[in-house]
Amino acid sequence: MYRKSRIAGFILLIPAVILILLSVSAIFVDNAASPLNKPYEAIRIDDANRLAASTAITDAEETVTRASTRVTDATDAADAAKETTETAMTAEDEGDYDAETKPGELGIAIAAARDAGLDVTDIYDAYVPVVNTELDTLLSDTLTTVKRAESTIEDAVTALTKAEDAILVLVPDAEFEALPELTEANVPKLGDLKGTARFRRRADNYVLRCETAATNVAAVETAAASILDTCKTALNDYKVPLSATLITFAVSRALDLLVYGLILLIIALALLVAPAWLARKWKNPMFRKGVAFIFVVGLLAAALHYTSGETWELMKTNTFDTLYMTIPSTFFAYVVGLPLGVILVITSPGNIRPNKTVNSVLGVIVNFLRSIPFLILLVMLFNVTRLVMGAAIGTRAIIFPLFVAAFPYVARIVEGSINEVDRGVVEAAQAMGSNTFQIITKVLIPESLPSLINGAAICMTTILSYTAMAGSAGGEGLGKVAVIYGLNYRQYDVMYLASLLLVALVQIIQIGGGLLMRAVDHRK
Amino acid sequence: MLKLENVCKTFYSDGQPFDAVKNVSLHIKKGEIFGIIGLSGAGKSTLIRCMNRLETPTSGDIKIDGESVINMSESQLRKLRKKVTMIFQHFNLLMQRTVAKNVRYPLELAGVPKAQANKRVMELLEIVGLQDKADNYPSQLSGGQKQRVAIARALASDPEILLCDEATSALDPMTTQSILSLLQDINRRLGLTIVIITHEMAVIRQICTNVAILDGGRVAEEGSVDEVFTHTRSEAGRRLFGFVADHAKSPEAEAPVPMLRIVFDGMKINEPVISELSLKTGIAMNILYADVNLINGKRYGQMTIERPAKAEDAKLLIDTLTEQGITVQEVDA
Ligand SMILES: Nc1ncnc2c1ncn2[C@@H]1O[C@H](COP(=O)(O)OP(=O)(O)OP(=O)(O)O)[C@@H](O)[C@H]1O
Ligand SMILES: [Mg+2]
Repeated sequence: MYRKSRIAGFILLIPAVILILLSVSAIFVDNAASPLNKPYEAIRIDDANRLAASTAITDAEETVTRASTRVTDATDAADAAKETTETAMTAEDEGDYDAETKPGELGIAIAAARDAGLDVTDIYDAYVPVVNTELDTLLSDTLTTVKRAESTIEDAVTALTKAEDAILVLVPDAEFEALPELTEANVPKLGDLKGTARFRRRADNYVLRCETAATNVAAVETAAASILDTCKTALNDYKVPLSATLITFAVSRALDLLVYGLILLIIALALLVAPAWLARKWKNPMFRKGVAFIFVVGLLAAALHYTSGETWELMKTNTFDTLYMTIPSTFFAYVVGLPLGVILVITSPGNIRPNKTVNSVLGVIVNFLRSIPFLILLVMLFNVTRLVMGAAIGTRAIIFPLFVAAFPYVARIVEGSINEVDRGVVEAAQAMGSNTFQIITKVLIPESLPSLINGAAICMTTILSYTAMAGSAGGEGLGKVAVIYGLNYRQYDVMYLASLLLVALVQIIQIGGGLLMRAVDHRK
Repeated sequence: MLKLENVCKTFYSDGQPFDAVKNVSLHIKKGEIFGIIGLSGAGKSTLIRCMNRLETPTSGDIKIDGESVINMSESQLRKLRKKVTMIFQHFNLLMQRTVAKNVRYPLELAGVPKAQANKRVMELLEIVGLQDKADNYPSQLSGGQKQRVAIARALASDPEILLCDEATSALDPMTTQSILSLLQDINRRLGLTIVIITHEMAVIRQICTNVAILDGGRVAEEGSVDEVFTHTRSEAGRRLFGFVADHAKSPEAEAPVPMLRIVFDGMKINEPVISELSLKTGIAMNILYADVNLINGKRYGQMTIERPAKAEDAKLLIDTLTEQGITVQEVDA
């Protein structure tokens, strides 16, 4: 007796115990007694190493790029300095000054004196120290720039070495291309050069240093390209053992695992200890529904538990969008579909207003629209949608194609419900002298109301499932979120959450419809 | 009051004509309870549905108070149907309406003001004895109670004729009795003309004054109930009253047996007719078939016995019974 359920209970007991042991050791992972303590420590160090390597690679990449830019900057600065000193040199040689190339009060004064035929020597003597100070500042600045470029090249080499070291921690046998030797510029001494000539020599030297720096940086860049590539490949190929992934998961979700383990344990024990009781309980539909309900709520709760604020916002707005599309299109689908369904019934052969033409024409239209897949209908209706809704795409615009897709469906569902009304009752209504309109409003619709409500819930869930395709026409909604996050971003948790919310919406509609149906049903 | 002249109804199914009603002429007088009896498929429902024009006869004429219903317009028909109402075998109540609202339905159609309609509904429910069920739904009622609601509903528009299509066929014998008494009571109190369709002889015997036997769409026999029952002439009638005993055709019977049919027509329950007969005449009787019902303490029914071989014995039997006012018919198998 109940052998199978006992075996099942025993089989369930194994994962239950494993889950509980795992979650308990995960909860107390910081305690040395926990069997997970040592492995988790190792995993943490490994994680830190990988993080360090990845940071070092990024850092090296950035430094190399920076070195290259700085060398270019320095070269530009040195060239400009050289030009300026040469101009100053010429001016000094010629004792001349051109107001146009060197504006400023002194220059203007010199030019004015010369125009007036005055002797400009005094003024010029006053001018030289000023020019010297300017050149000195310019050359000091240039030197700073050049030095910075040179040291950044050294930084780049250091960063590359660091990246190599970080990778070597993870992959000890990794091999890298050799780093280039940096050459030093061979610059002539300034000696006892004085005045502007000294400035010119300095500028020349900087240009020379920049040339060397350019050679160096080019070599570093070539080496870096290969080294960083090796690093990245090594890091990418680095295999985190499955056990490490599992342990990390267990530690981060220890409490949940404990709950699941306990649930499994309860089920296993129930199967083992009280299979007869369970079998009896299971016969009760309320018990089964209760179990299913706890299961669904648990799933939903777990999903929400891992939902960040951002994802939650996403879910909230898209749930709203889904309802925004579903409710109005259901409403309008009924505005058209309900009368259509009624007409389909009463014009059918042998009914109260048989009319072969009307019946078959409407039947063909309904069947035609029903057989076009929604996605195609959406595209086919683009122009009509633009005309009716003012736009062809977007969440609001989609209400129209949803309505067009849904009303024939509604008509058929309504037809089915109305057809359930006992012919005898309709006949009685006729025998009492009801006209067609009275039969529809006082007999057909009220008598089939519970079935109509049930049908409405079915229609609404169908339309809800159509909204999943809204994304194809610029609409939002949970369906689109599920598709985009599942397909494009590979964020499966978001996909599952969106789908779960869709399931919840369907359940709410279905249960709500069922309750409403029971409330208005007096047929029994 | 209600006159049918050569009414025919032909159905076409898959292009094949089928004559459900053939040349039926009937005259139903005001205030009488007229029964139409026939076996299943005899065309009873089709015929009664012609009377309120739920079905249009293929030919012939139906006159109510001298006015032909054949060429009536839709709106005239709706007016007619307030005068000629109907109840059904399966009650056909609106399941989503309470008892009171079911009865109010015809009043709603007539546009009677609500307060007045509700008062009338309570009166009608009192007639059928269901005041306390006014707010119940039909699903909470028994079959008999449902038929009472249907009757109340049919009376709401103050009709002159009530058509009953197998109104008691779905009910047990006790409930059938009470519904029939109710109909009779209504007939007497309101002077309503009632047309009853049934396949049960007991129903006809209990309340009908006149009866027509329908067979294969034709009227096989028509007349007062006593007349038709005691002096059944048609083959269909004999079959319906069940005295063409099966044994007559059974293989054991080498030759057909001559029979006597004894009809009990309201005998007192405490009269031991048959045993007295046997003691008095000293003739042993072989009972072939018997069908006796007690209605209101009286005995209605019939018995078929084998006719004694000797002619004088047979004569003695017949005379003794006739003396007691019992109808005896000779039946040749
Ligand atoms: N709408 C219809 N189309 C075709 N044939 C029909 C239609 N209505 C009735 N008939 C046929 O007419 C015949 C008489 O039917 P009807 O319903 O009048 O019989 P009935 O005497 O009421 O039988 P029952 O006692 O079973 O109710 C049947 O053979 C039936 O098949
Ligand atoms: Mg019938």
